[in-house]
Amino acid sequence: MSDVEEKVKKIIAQQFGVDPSELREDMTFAEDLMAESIDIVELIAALEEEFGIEIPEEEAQKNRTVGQTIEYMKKKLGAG
Amino acid sequence: MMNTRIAIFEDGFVEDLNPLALTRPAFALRCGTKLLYEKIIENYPRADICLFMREWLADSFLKKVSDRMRILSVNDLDALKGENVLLVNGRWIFDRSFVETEEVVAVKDGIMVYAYLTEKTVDEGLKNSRNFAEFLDWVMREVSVRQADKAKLVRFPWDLVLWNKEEIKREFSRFKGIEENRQGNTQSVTVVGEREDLLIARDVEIYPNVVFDTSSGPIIIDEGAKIFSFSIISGPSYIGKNSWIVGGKIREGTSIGPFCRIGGEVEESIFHAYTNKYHAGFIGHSYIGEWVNLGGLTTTSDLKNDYSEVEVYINGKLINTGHLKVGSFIGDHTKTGVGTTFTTGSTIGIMCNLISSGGPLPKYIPSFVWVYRGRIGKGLGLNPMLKTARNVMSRRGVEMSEAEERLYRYLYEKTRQERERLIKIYRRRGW
Repeated sequence: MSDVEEKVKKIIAQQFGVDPSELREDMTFAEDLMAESIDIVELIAALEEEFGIEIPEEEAQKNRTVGQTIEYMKKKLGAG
Repeated sequence: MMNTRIAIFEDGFVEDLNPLALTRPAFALRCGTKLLYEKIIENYPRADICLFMREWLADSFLKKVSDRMRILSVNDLDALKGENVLLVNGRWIFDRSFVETEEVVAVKDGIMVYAYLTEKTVDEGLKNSRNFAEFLDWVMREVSVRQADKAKLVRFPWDLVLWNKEEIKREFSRFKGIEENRQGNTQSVTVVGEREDLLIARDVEIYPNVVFDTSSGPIIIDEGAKIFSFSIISGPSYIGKNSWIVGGKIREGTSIGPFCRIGGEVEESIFHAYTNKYHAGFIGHSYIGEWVNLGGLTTTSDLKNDYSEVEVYINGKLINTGHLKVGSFIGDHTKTGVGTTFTTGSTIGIMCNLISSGGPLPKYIPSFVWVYRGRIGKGLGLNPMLKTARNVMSRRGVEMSEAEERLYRYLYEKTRQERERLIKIYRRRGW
C-alpha cells in the first residue's frame, strides 16, 4: 500500500469512525458510510489539510467511492 | 363502459415509495384531495374492483379501505374472468380523459399506465399466465400499445408532493356539489381572492379571525373540519374531513387528510391521516404518514443553502430528485420530540421515536429506531412501540386491528437487517 493510499484511508476512517482495515475500495460514501454532503465537505477539508493542497469541489464530487478518492489523490499528488 | 371490471395493481416499483408504501399499497397514497385508488373507483361507481398488491399488506389494508363492499377480490387472477377489464397501474394519478374504451395498453417509459382489455383478451391472457406478473407481461406483448407520455406515474414520494397543487385544482370542481356551510358561523371569514374558490362543507366550524387566500388557487374545507382563530389558509389547499387547523399558516399546495391536528407553518405538504402537528415549526415539501406526532418546533428543511438539487435516500440508496425544494418523508407512527430538525430531503422510517439533542438528525433513519441523547438505537424493541401506537389510536377512538399488528410485526423483521447495519454505522460516527 502506497503512502498516499494509507494516509487517505486513515483520514476516511477517522471521518467515518471505522477501522482502516474495514474500508474497501468499492465502498460508497453515500450508501456504505451514510455520508451526507456536509460530511464530504469535512472530508475534503481534512484531505486538504493533510496534503497541503486545494481540492476543487466539482472534482471532489466525482469521487463517490473510497477507491475513487484514493486514485484521485494519487493523481493529484503525482504519486500514481 | 358497461360490464367492465376495474383491476388496480402494484407494479415492481412500489417499494421506491418507501417508507410511505411500507404500510399501505402504493394506490392508497394521497395526492390532491383523495387517495390514488379513490380517484379511480369514483369514476366507475358501478364497477367491481379487483386489487393486486403485495400479499403481506392485504389484510391490514382491507380493514381500513373505503368502499370495502365494492372490492370483489384481492390477488385473485380468476376474478378477472368473464368481463372487460380496465387494468390500472396503482401509481398512476388517474385521469379519465386518458382512458380509451378500445383495446389498448397505454405506456409511459415502457411501463404500463393502464390497459383496456376485452373479455376475450382477458380470458386468452389468463390461459397463458400462471400469475399476475405473467399476465401483465402477456398483455404488454400481445395488446397494441399507445404512448401516454403525459400520464403522471408516481415514481418517488416527492412526485406526490410536486403534483399535489395541480391535483387539488383539478379535483376542485368535483367538490362543488358538497353542501356548503349554512350555519351562519362563517360571518367573520375573510377571503382574499375569489369567494367562489372557497368551498366549505357542512358541519365545518370556523372561528373568528380566519383568512382564506384563494388568489393562487382554490381551497376546500371538508366535512366536520374546524378552523381555529388566527389561521391563514392559502390555496390550492385541501383540509380533510374532521381535521383541525389550530392556528398558523397553511400555505399553498397542502393536503391534509382526515382527523389531523395541524398548526404552525406548512407549505406544499401532504399529511396522510390522524397526524398531529399542533405547534409551531415548519413542514415544507414533505409527505407525513398517519398517526405521526410532530412535537413543538419540529422543522423540516426543504432547501439547501447552496441551492443545489436535493438528494433523498430511498431504501438506503441516495437518489438525486432533480428538484431544489424537497422536504422530509416520514413513515407512520413516528414521533418527534420538541425541537426536532430534519435536514433537506430526509427519509424517516415507521414507528421511530426521535428526541432531538440540538442539530439535525441523520438524513436517513431506518424504521423502528430511537434517537435520544444524540445516540441512535433500537430502543426498547417492538412491543413497547406497539403499546404506544395502541394508546395513541385509542385516544381517537380507533383500535389497532390484529391484521395491522401482524403487519407491524412482519415489517419489524423485514427492516431488521437494514436497521442493525445502520445503527452500527451511525454509532461509530458518534450517533
